[in-house]
Amino acid sequence: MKKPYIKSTKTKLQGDNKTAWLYLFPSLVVISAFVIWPVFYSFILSFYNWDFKNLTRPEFIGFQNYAKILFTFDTDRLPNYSLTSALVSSFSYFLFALFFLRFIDIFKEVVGRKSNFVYFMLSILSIISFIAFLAFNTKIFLIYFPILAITNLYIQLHRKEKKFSFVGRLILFFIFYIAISKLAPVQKNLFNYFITLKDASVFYKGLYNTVYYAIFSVPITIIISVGVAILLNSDIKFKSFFRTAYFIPYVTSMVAVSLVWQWLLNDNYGLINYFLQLMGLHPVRWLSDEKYTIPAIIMVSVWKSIGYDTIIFLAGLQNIDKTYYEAAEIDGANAWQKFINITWPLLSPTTYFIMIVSLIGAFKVFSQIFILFNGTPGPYNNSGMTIVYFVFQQFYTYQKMGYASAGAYILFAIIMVFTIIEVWYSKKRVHYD
Amino acid sequence: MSEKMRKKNRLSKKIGKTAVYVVLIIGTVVMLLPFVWMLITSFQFPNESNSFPPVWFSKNFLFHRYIAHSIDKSTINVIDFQSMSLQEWLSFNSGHKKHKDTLNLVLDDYVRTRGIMTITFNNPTYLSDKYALLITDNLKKYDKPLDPAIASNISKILTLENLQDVVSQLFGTFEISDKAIFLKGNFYKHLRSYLKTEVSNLNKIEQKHYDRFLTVSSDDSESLKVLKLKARNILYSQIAKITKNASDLMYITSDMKNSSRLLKADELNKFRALMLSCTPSISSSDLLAFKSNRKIYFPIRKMIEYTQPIEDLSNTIDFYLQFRKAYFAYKTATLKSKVVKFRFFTRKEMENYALKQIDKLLPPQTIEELKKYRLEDYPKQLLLEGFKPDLVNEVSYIIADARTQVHVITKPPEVESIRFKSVGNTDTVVISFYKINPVNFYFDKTAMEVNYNFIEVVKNVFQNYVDAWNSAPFGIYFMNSVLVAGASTIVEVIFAILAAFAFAKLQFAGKEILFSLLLMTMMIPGEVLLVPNYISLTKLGWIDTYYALITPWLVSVFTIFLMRQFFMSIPQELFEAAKIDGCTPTRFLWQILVPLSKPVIVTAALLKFVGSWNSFLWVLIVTKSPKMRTLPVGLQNFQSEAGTDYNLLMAASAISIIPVLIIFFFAQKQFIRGIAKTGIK
Repeated sequence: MKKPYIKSTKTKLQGDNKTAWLYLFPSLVVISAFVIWPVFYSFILSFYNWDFKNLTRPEFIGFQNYAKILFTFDTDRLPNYSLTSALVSSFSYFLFALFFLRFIDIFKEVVGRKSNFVYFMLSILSIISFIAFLAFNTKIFLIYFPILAITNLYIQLHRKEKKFSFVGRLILFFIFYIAISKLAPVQKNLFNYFITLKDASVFYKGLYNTVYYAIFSVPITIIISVGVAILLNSDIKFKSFFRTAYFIPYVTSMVAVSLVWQWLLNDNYGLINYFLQLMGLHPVRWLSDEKYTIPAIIMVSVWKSIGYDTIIFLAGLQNIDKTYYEAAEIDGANAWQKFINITWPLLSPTTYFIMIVSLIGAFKVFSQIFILFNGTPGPYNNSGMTIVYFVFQQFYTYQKMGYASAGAYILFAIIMVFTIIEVWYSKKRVHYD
Repeated sequence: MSEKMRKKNRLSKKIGKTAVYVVLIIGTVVMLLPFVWMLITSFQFPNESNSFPPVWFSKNFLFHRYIAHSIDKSTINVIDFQSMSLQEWLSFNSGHKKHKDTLNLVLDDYVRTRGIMTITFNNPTYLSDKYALLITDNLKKYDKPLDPAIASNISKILTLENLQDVVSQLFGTFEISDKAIFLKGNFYKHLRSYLKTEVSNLNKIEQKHYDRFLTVSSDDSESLKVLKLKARNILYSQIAKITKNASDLMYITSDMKNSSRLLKADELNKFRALMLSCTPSISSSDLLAFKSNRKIYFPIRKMIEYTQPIEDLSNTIDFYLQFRKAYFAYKTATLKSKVVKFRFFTRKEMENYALKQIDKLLPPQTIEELKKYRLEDYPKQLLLEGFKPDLVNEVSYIIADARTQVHVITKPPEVESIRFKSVGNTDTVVISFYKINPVNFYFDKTAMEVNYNFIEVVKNVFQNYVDAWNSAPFGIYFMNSVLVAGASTIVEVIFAILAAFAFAKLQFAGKEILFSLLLMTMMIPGEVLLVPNYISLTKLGWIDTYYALITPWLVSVFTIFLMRQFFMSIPQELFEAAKIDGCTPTRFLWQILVPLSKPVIVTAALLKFVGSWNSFLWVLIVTKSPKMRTLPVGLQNFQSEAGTDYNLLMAASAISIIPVLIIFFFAQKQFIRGIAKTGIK
C-alpha cells in the first residue's frame, strides 16, 4: 500500500496539516459523536441500572448486569447436576480423548521399540484409570487427572512424527470424545449442560439459537455460493443474467423479502408446503412449530446472502492465474482435482474474508425474525430468540438501558472471540499468493 | 484410438456444459421464485391467493368473465304469521313496503367495481296477478285438512291481499326457506316424528282398547259377536300393515337425513303412496256398520285419529303439487327483455352523485370545507363540526346510497332500479321490480358476466397496489425513504470524499494512527451503539425527526476506505504538478480528482442509497409517528394492520422493492463492481 515516493516528498508537504484536518473535520465529528463516544458511553452504561421507561436515575451497580444476564436462571429448569461436575467430567473426557489420540499416534513406536518403559507404564496406568473411571464415578478424578496429564505431556514431548493431518486429528479427537462421553456412567457434559441451560435463561436460548443459526447458515451459504461462482466463472452464455438473478435478493429490503417468505412458508397456502406435497412429503408448519423456527430463518438468510457471497467469490476466482489450470490440465488432472488443489487453496483468502463477514453478520441476525414472526421472537417458547433480539427486547420493549448495553457488550465480546479465533486460524491455513 | 477419445471427450464436455446450464437455471428459478410469487399474489383476489393448491393466475387479467352467484333467499323467506300479533299482521298486509320486490343476486366471487356488468335471464316468466288470483281462489277451495304444523300459516297466507306475496310465501313455506318442509332433511324429520308417534299410539290401541272393547263375551248377541270379531280382525290386520309399512317408509327415507335438496314431484308422489299405505283402509260399508256401535267404533276411531297426521301430510303434498303445477302452468307473463346491463360508477361519478344530493342539505361553505376529506369521512366531520345527528344521518344515508348507484345501460321496463351493494366481503346486485315478486325468478338460471376494456383490465390488475397504497400512508413512507436515503447518500459521499482525500493525498501528523483508528471502528457491531445513540438523540430531542434518521449515518468508514484506495491509485505526481501550477488542494480535489474517480463515487453512492433505503432496525427505534416512518418500517406496520391479506401485503412489498430494483437494473455494473471490491483486501 505504501508507496516509496511519499516519504521522499514528505518534507515538501508540511503545509497540508491544516487543510487535512479541515477535510477530516466533518467525518471525525460524526464518528466521534455516533461511534467512538457511544462505545465508551455504552460500556459505562453497562455497569448501571437505568430504567428509562420509568425515568429513574441511573444507578451504579457494578457487574450486576453482566451477572444477571450470564448467571441468572430459572432454577426449575436448570440441569440436575452442577456446572463444576459438568466441567470436571468434560475435562476428563477431554483428557481421555486426548490420550487415546496420542496413543494411536505413537502406537507404532511403542510396539516397535518395546524399550520405552515410561511409555508403557504411563499408558497402562492411563488405561487402568480409564477403566476405573467407567467403573466408579467421577469423584476419583484427583487420581487420574495427574496420570493423564503426565502421560499426555510425556507423549507430547517425546513424539517423533505426527501421523494424522490437523483435520484428521480433530475428527479422531471428537470421535473419541463422543464415544467416551457416551460410555461414561453419568451423562454429565459441558455441552449437554449448555444445551439444557437454554431452557433456563432467555439469554442462553438466544446464544444457543444464534450459534445454531450461524453454524448452519454460514457454511451452507458458502458452499452454495462457491458452487454458483465456479459455474458462473466457466465459459457460458447469459453470464450477466444469471449473476443478476442470484444477486437480486441481496439488494432488496429484508423486511419486504421476509414478508414474501412469510407468505411462501404459510402453513395453509404456502408455496413451499405445496412443493413438499408435490414431492410426496408432509407439509411442515414452518412458522408455527418451534422445531422449524431456526431452519426457516436459515432458509431466508441463505437465499438472501447467496448473491453477495457469489459476487465476491467470482471476483476471487477471476484473480486466480489461469496458468495454474493449464499446467494441471497438462498433468491430466480432472475437474475435482483442479478444484481441490488449485481453486480451493487459492480462493482461501476470499473464503476467509467471507467467513468473517458472514459470521459477524450471522451473530447479528434480527430483522428476518422480527418480520417472519410478526414482531415476536418465534411462535412460542422464544424459539426464535437471538442475542440481538435479546438486546433489542431489553432496550426497546423494556427500556432497560444498562442491561441492554451489557447484553450488547457480551455480543461484542463473542464476536471478538470468534474473529480472533478466525484470524489465528487463518494465519495457519490461508494461502496468500 | 485418439479420434475416439477426442469424440468421447467432446461429448462429455457437452454433457458437462448442459449440466452447468441446468443447474444454473434451477438455481435462478429458486432465487427468483419468491419475487415471482410475490408479484402473482399481488395481482390476485383474496380467494385466489388463499387457495390450495396455489393458483398461478388471476382473474384480474381477464377482459371478460362469468361470475358465480346465487339468489339471496332471505328476500323470499317465509314469515311466521302464527307468532305475529294482529297489529303486525295488519301492517304487513296493508300493502307494499319499500323495495320489497327485489331480487338479490349474491356474488360468490370477487369483482372489481368497474367495467360493464351484464345479467341475462334465461326464461324470465312470472305469474301475473290475474292468474295469481285464479290459483289462490282454487287453493282456498281445497277442503282436505293440511299438515297441522303449517295449516294455520297457510290459511293466513291465502288471505294476504298482495297476491304476489301469497305465491312467494307459499314457495317459502314449501321449498325455499331453510325450514321449508319439502326439503329432504326437513321432510325426513317431519315424517319420521309422525310415523314414530303413529306407531307407538297404534301399539297403545292394541294394549289398551283391544281387550276392553272388542272382547267377545258370552252375553253378546250373535250379530254383535260377528261384528266384534270382524272389527278385531280388521284392526289387527290394519295395525300390522301400518306398522310394517311405517317401518319400511322409515327405512326408505333414512338416507335423506342430512340432505337439503328439494324433493321432486315424482319422489313426493311415491312418498305419498307409501304414506297412504300407512293409513287404515276400511271399506265404507264396514265403517258404517262399526259406527252403529259406539264401543266397537271407539278403537276404530282412535286408529283413524292416530293416523290422521300422516294423512294430513299426504294431503299437504297433494296441495303443494297442485299449487306448483298450477303455478308453472300459469306462469306465462314474460319480462319484455331478458338483459340487465349496467356500468359501475367511477369514484368521481359516485362523489358527484352524492355531492349533488348533499348540496340541498348543507350550506355551501360547509361543503367546500368537507371536500378536503374523503367522502366516507363526511359524517364524522359533520359530527365534529356540531351538526345535528338527524342531518348527519341523512348525509350518511345519501353517501351509502350513492355508493350503491350504477349507470343502467339496458333493463327490462318491469325493472325499477338496479343497485350494487358491497357490505364487507359480499357484493350483491339488487334488482328491484315493479310489483313482480322475486320468487318468480328463483326458478330461472341467470348468467352474470363482466366486461372490461384494456385500461380497466390494467386498473384491475393493479387494484391491490392502489388499495394497499391507500390503506396506509405509503405516500409519506415513500417520500421519507427518498428523502432520508437521498440526503444521507449525498452528504455521506461528500464527507467521504473529503476524508479520503486527506488520507490519500495530504500529509499530516498522526495520519497512520488516525486511519487505523477509523478502520478499527468498523469492528464495532452496530448493536453496541444502539442504546447510547438512542439516549443522546433523546437528550437532543431528535427522536422522531429526520435528524435522527439521517445524522448518525452520515459517515461510513468503509466508504472512506474504498475511496482512499481509489484516490491512492491516482498518481501523486498529478497532485504535485497541479500544486506547482498554483492549484489549491480544494480545487485539485473537486476539479481533477473527483471527475477522475467517478466510478468509485457512483459505486459508493449506490451502496449507501440501497443500504439506507433498506435499513430497518434504527428507523424502527427512532420513529414513533407514521409521518416519520420509511418504507421498511411502514411495511412492517402495515403487516400488523393487513393481517393475512397477503395479496395486499405482497403489493405493498412490491412497492417497497421496485424502486431499488429499478436502480439496480440501471447501475448493475457499478453495484457488482462495488460489492466485488469489498472482498479484495
